[in-house]
Amino acid sequence: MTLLGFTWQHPDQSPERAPVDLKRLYHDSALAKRMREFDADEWLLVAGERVIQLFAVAPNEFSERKFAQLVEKLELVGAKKVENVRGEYEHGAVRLFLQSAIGWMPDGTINLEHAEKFRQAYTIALEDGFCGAQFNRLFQRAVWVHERLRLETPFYQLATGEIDLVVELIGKIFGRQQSRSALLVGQSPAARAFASRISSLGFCHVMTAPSDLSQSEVPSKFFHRAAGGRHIDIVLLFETSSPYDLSRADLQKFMESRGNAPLLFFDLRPSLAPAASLKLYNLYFYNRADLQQVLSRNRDELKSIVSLAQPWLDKEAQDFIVWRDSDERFHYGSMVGGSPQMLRVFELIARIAQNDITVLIEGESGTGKELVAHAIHDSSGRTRRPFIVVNCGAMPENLLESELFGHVRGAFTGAMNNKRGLFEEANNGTIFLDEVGETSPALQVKLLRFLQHGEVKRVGSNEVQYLNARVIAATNRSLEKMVGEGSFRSDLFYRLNVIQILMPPLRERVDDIPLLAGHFLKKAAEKMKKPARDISPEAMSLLKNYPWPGNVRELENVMERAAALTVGTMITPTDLPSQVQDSEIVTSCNGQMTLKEVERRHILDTLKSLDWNYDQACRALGIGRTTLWRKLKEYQVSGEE
Amino acid sequence: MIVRIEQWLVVALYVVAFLAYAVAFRKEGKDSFTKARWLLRGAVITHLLHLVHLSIFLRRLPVTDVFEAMTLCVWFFAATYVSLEWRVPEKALGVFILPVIIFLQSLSALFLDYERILPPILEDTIFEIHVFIMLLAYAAFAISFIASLLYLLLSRELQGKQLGLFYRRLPSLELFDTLSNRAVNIGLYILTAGLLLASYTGFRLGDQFSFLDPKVLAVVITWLIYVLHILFRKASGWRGRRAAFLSLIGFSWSMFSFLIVSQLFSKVHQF
Repeated sequence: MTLLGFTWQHPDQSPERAPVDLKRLYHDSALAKRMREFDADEWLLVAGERVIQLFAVAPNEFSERKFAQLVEKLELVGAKKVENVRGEYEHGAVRLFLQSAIGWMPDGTINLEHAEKFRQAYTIALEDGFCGAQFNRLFQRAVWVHERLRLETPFYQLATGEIDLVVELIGKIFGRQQSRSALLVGQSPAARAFASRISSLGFCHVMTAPSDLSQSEVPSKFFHRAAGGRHIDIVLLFETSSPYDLSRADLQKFMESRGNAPLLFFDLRPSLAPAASLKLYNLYFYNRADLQQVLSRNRDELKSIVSLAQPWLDKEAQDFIVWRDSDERFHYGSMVGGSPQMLRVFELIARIAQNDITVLIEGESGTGKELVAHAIHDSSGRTRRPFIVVNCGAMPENLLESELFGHVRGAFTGAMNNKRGLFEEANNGTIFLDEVGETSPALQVKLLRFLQHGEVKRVGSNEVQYLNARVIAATNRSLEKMVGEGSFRSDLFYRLNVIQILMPPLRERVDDIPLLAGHFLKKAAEKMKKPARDISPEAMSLLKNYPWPGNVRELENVMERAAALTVGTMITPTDLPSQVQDSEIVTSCNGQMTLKEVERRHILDTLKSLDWNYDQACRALGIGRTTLWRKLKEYQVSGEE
Repeated sequence: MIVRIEQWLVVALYVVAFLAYAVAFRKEGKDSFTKARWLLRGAVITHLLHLVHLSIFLRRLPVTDVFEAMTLCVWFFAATYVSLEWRVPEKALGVFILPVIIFLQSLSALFLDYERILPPILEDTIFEIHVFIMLLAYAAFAISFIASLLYLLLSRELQGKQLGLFYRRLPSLELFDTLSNRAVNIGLYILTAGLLLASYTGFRLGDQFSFLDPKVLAVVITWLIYVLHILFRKASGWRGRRAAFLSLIGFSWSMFSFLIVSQLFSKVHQF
């Protein structure tokens, strides 16, 4: 399997084409079917306005030609012939993936819309299960590269389009605090695009005027009339009904008529002639040529930044290939998982770790909530600061309060000294509140106070302390339900529930069981110095069928037990605890079935899981070969159905 | 001796803070300013402790000659800037302000003579308050000066369409304008109060004091410049660049009168 990346770019600069609806594209089964035909393990199709990209982990035969055929078949580009496809493999494909995800196109331009499309496509593909561990990792790295570029270079600050530059100039001159009024002259589509963008900024009041300014009229009068007597701070001139030269005297008159207050004037009429020197007091004048000049300088600078970032991408690509060829693949922090649900959790962690948002982790006991909290702490900027774990369910209410907030001497009987609370200990770090649903209403109020204002008061003291600790809360009961019942404050719930991470129970991610079991077995075997390495297929099918009420933690214990009990290198069903050994019957008993039906199903399931190998099935079922034959005949099971 | 060492320690701390600001300014990172800000706060607190120590050591406020007053003025200036930083989301200003602070503080450290004998008129509480207030006003004008300077630099780049370093790093013209105007308003109130106190002291001194003293005239001119600044701004047309120019002139003049006029011409005022 190779990592591939293909790009096709529309030859026209601005093709008139309806944007592709990614959701529909993905949910259309034709695409998935074709990709299955190509034998792709993971794939991601990003269809933007001008660029179509496909990334896949697929056999090497998947070529540019096939990609072109696929695009044509899906009718993504109308009747156009798809030519000049660029294909990248392995190292190059990793770079292409990272670049595209941050909106840095193969031709060196920056296209943030493409980055947005990329993110959408990725989210859909992940939900539908087309993206796996490799793309997940790549996407996480892309997020990281994006953050680094954003923080260390002006990569995302350099305006690359005229609208962006105009908005930036408005901000540089008038700030973003007060509301300003802008007058837009012209009604072309370009003018409308500017109008909607500028009014969306919120601090600009936009007025539009028809373009009937001609040489015969005094511009200041025209502007004032168009603005309805309102004060004007910004003028954007898109078109005039007849060719019209703005003269220095005209502008001066206009400036004077509005008290010489600072004015930002954009002459955006299509002529690209260099500007006559229009230096006037408090006037900032830009025409199209000026904007283009600034933009071209920005583009040059972008190129130099891009060359600075090349080595990062090379290193990322190298690291990725090394990682892919090792068994680190399914690890994140100390978590293991390859199922789509877990990959989504990993991505979410990578996304939110850097910001200090409050996180609520919901999941059954043993699903690894604390590991998630730890992973968030470790990938945040607070790594070197304390990570404090508090189990809110483990302590009586009063004790918990003084543990969390501390107390002063004499606050209650036995309070001999001042004591720092755990919030104080976790200052600048992270505090993990496990089983937060168990807290009493009084304590919930105090927690809310901390979350809203960062305020903490020691028990028995009136002194308020302001602390900066990131809160990660976890619960194994549905807080939403508790809010409905009235046992949990709704305001606290909304405060905690800024970001929710739902940990799936193990039975819902059966695909991860072999991975996890292998991981825990290896760990336990190393600890006990046992040679156990493998798990027999029979044992594995038992593990997969067991409903795991204790989730991953239970699996870890089971594997530890198995490692301790086993004598050989292979874990067999006998090494597993009895409840796991009985699991297959447990799973089939969930309906109203007769004994015979149960038997029939069980035999069928066993055969299927062992690939219809009768010998092994007999052994697994503990019956003789003839008995099996008789049973099969009786239940009218013939061969492979 | 310890006082002298302290003076240089304060200079060193400002230099360290300046270096941190310069690095952060160059790197343009979001978090890199945090360290610089804390270093500056540390320097300002150390400076305050030093001033307290100096006052105890001299048994009076350090306001009786130009170099004593200078270190106090520098502290006002730095403290105003730090409190400003708290409110305005802009930190790049520090790079421009700290060199001024370092220069003035070094001057004070070099020439401070704390063993000289004082004329009795200087050992007076009302006089001390007067000097204190005047220095506060100068600190406010200094803030306005820096903001106006940056306004002009940024506006030059914007008008000349050469969008360079200042364009990239500085916030908006609007912000500098507001900042400068606010500082002038506050400074002018304080200066007026200082002048009133001064005339009270002057009356008490009787013959020794003349309202035609060059220094007194110079300060009155300063006062007039800033009054004009406010008036012109109210009457429109003097927004933006011209107001900024006037603020530059006002501060340059007040520094001139602070350092030179009083040294050379005045009989009563030593600074």
